[in-house]
Amino acid sequence: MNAKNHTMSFAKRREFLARSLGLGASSLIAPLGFNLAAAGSAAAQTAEDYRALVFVYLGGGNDSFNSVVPYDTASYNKYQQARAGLARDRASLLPITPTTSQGGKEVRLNANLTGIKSLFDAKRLAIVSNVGPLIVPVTRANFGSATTPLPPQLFSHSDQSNYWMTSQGNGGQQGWCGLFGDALASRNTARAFSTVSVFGYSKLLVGEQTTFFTLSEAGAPGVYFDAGSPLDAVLTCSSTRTNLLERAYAQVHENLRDNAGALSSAILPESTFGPVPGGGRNTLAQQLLTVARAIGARAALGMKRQVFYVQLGGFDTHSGQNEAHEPLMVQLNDALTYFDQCMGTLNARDLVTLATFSEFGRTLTSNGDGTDHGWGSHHFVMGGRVKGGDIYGALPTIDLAGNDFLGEGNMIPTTSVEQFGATFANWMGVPGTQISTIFLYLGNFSSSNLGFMLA
Amino acid sequence: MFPSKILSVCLAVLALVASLSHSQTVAGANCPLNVSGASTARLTVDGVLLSRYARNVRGAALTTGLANPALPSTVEASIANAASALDVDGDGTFAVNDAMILSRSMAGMNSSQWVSGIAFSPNATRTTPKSLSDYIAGGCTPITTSDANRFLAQASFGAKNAADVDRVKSLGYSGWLDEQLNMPVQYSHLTRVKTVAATRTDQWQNRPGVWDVNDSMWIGMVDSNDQLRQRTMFALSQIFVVSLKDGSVYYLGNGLAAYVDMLYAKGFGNFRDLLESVTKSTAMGSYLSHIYNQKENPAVGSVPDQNYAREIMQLFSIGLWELNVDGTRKLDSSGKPIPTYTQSDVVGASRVLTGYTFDAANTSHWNNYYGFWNYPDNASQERPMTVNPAYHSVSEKRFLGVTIPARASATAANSEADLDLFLDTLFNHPNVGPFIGRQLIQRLVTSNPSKEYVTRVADTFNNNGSGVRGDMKAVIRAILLDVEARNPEKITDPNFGKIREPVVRMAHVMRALNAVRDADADSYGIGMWLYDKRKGLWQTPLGSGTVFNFYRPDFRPGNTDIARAGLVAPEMQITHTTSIDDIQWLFRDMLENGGITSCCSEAERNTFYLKFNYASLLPLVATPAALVDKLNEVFMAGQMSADLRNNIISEMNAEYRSSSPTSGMPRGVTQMKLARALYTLILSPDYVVQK
Repeated sequence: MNAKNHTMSFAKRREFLARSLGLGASSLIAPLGFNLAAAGSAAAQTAEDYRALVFVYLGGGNDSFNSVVPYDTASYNKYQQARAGLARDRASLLPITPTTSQGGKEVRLNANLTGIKSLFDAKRLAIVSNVGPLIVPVTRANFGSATTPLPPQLFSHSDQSNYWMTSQGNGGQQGWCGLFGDALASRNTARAFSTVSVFGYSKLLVGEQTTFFTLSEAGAPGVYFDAGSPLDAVLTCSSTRTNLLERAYAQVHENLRDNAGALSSAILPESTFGPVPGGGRNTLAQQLLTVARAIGARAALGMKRQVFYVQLGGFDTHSGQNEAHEPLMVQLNDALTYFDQCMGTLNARDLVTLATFSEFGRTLTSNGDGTDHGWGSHHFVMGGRVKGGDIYGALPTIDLAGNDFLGEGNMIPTTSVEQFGATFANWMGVPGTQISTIFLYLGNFSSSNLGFMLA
Repeated sequence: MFPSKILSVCLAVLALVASLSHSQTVAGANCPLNVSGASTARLTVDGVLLSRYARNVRGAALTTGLANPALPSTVEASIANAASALDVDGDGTFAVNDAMILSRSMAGMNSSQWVSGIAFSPNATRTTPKSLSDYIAGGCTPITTSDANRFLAQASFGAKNAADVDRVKSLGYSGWLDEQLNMPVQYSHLTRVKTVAATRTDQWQNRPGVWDVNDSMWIGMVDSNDQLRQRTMFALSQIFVVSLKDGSVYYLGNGLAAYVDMLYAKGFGNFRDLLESVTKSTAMGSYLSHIYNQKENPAVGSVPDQNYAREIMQLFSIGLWELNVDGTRKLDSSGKPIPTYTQSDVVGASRVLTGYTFDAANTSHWNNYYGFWNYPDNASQERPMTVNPAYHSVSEKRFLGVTIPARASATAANSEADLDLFLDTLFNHPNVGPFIGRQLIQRLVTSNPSKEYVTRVADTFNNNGSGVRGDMKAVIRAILLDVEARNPEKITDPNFGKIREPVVRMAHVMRALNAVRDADADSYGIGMWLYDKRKGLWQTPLGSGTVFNFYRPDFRPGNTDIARAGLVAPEMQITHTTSIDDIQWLFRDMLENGGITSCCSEAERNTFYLKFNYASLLPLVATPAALVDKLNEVFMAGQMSADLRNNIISEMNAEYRSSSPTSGMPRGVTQMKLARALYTLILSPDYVVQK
């Protein structure tokens, strides 16, 4: 093989060194100016029957207290008190004005989220407050009581990410977006692309019949063998193999053989879109570029409903949080802003909704130079059909002794993951009876649609 | 949907499998049964001699009443010399059961009658009519070349040459394991990376980096002769995960190299010691942030970091749920699984794990946050962390039913005692045997061990036979000598085996093809693909994305028969359209090229970092059948189906698809054909699944 990576490794070491030293990814990543006027014609009113969801998984548990920061005096003081050394400078925070009054509570955005603020102001981005895994509403008083069922293994990465991504209606075996795929795939000509990951495996995308397809930052994988060739027979033949592991492995080759060609010829070239922020170093923006390229192939592939998955890791900030979290905010901001521009280029802002999620938020308390695993957290929803410029769900009262917190600084979610997911299911057109099957506990909450999506 | 012509190709496989499963040949002619010294073995003489000998009859009584036997001493010597071959049930000794089975076979009974009424010992590896008839039909050869290759695929990164195979044959499985388990450590990552770094002058590059450790890992895994240790280390590194992809470890080249050296040494020691060494390693301390972890500070409202407290319980010792010894979850009276710990246990344990840092760190190191690279000197990375009582919590610590009362002040001694008590509590939890044992079985032998297999390994963890708990040597022996690992009938069990991790595949290919480092004595040039859009193997040693390893032990791939059967396939978590495309690209390019070169000028293309030695294989290209037979043995332990064999030969000779054969085959047609044979085999699911 031509090991470019070997000859380049020293230069890359140097780059990595700079980043790890906290010299600041921000100083290396040219800020991408967001210009509303240039973004221009917003989304043309179109009758195109296409809707896509793009989920951005913030792996490790994003500290949403430092993304969407308490700002009113009472809240900020408590916030600052609880996390010495980690609290964001109050003066640096970016103001936002939600359409709906928040009862005297005020939040502002992390200073690095300039593009996200602009999108909020332009009403193409909303904040969903304090979402987390819940079976029934939980209060500080009823937490731990025998009559208040809780999701299993709160605070565990693997279990909580699993809970976020899967349908409780089938015991967590399938992802809720995979089940959307099952419900909607008949509308798609190329069913194989009903759910697509640009970050390898994601349980979110696996349904009863829906198997996710993966792309990479290099785009669509190539088919490297001819159908009917001896090599094909060697690699595939899943149905006639007796060993079940061989079958599973062969199935992936078959997925590649049967589908990759169509996608690689239809996917748009990178040059369709502007340069990726961060000089190619913003891995989230790189993944979202691939998503944009694939969305651009929708007509050629006959796609009507799709779900995409991308991931940015590094949010498990137990230590060195200030040095680690701020560059992540830059990456997130630049990537989301870039994706909004890509959708503008495709004239597809009204067709595509992006949302962040994370297995949990973090503790309001500090462990010295970091935070620990929490529960509820705030998230962003972005797109032309988002009722943006507003906050959905109740903002918590920042008070460790108050009703919104457990001991150890964990915020109790007031909006369930299922309400969050069901709102997207409604927008995608998943039939109501299936929504209530997928989201088993939806009936335990006051609302099955959080209202942040226009029809 | 299958095009019909493809389906017809596939159906031939079924026919083959069907014919194999019905073939049973019974003949003992080549077994050393002729212990009387006559020209042919006879039931009435040799059968009787074997039975008497097995019942400890010796001397004149052995031959009494038999027609024309040799002297008793000669008969005794014949049997003793052939004892390992005559141990037909494979339990390690020639005994009454063996004599009975051999006598029945000599009497012409069919193989299902041989086992009638026989109670096999737990160590027996051949207990079914088929395994016994295969063994006897095969001439009672204790370990065949295929057996040895199969064993080495589980216990090592594969045979490098015929001598490796012969070693297993001559020592036997148990003897080979003894030799490997008692072999001194052959290789030190720390020594290597320090030597490598010392040759550099750049102010940032003159100390060992994690890249050096990655290069060193491949050298150790592929070149070192303590192969069982290497394979065990790789398995342990996937349980006690530290990732060089994480910025927290980037400055700890020495610490990371020392961590792997520690896994070498302690992996064959006691689990309690291993767990403590993992906990106190600076690499783990940095990765899971318990280094510089400070006691609670009411003045600023800070509390201890819970990271390691949680993960040592969830991932490194007891897991999330109470387990039975067979690895299944215990259930409460209402049928629900029982958590092993709660958040309050995590909080209690987090207080135990305060005060640890680099040996010889001072107060100014403590006060500088982002402290994982704030170490006193390079050598401090290599030593276990020590506790500074000034930063150790004195609050009450409750975990897993244990309470350490609050105390007035912390000392080094009582701080260490806290950790000892915590680690003892974890170590003695009944979950550890099944929790760790099952994962080690999954890494070495099969993704879906039976409950009985897990039980046998967990029992060994709990007691090595001499009353010692946590004896890792005994656990490794129990895993690899278990009937479920050794019984060749498992090869055709639809649920048996494991997907070879990409790293295992790569190391195996490198060993089998005698890879050497050519351009750079310190690197195979495999790299980590961290920044490339193509991700190579999608796995590199010590390169997991998170502490949850590359895949979870209970991963079930959606929409597959293996998931529908309720079984797991951990490695499928990194198997998808993108990764198999990247992996095929890597192997094809590398095998066609004969190794890894740099890019892109003519001179660079002839500068090999990794270079395969094709010398013994290239001459066989002219006789494809002979070539494929050899590859079948080396890579697949003789398990290749006739279909795969035929398809490899067809693919070797298929018309080359490039419009410009000259430029497309820079290494020549013969090497191209060899490469095709190799990658067709290596990419096949038949090979990928180790059985």
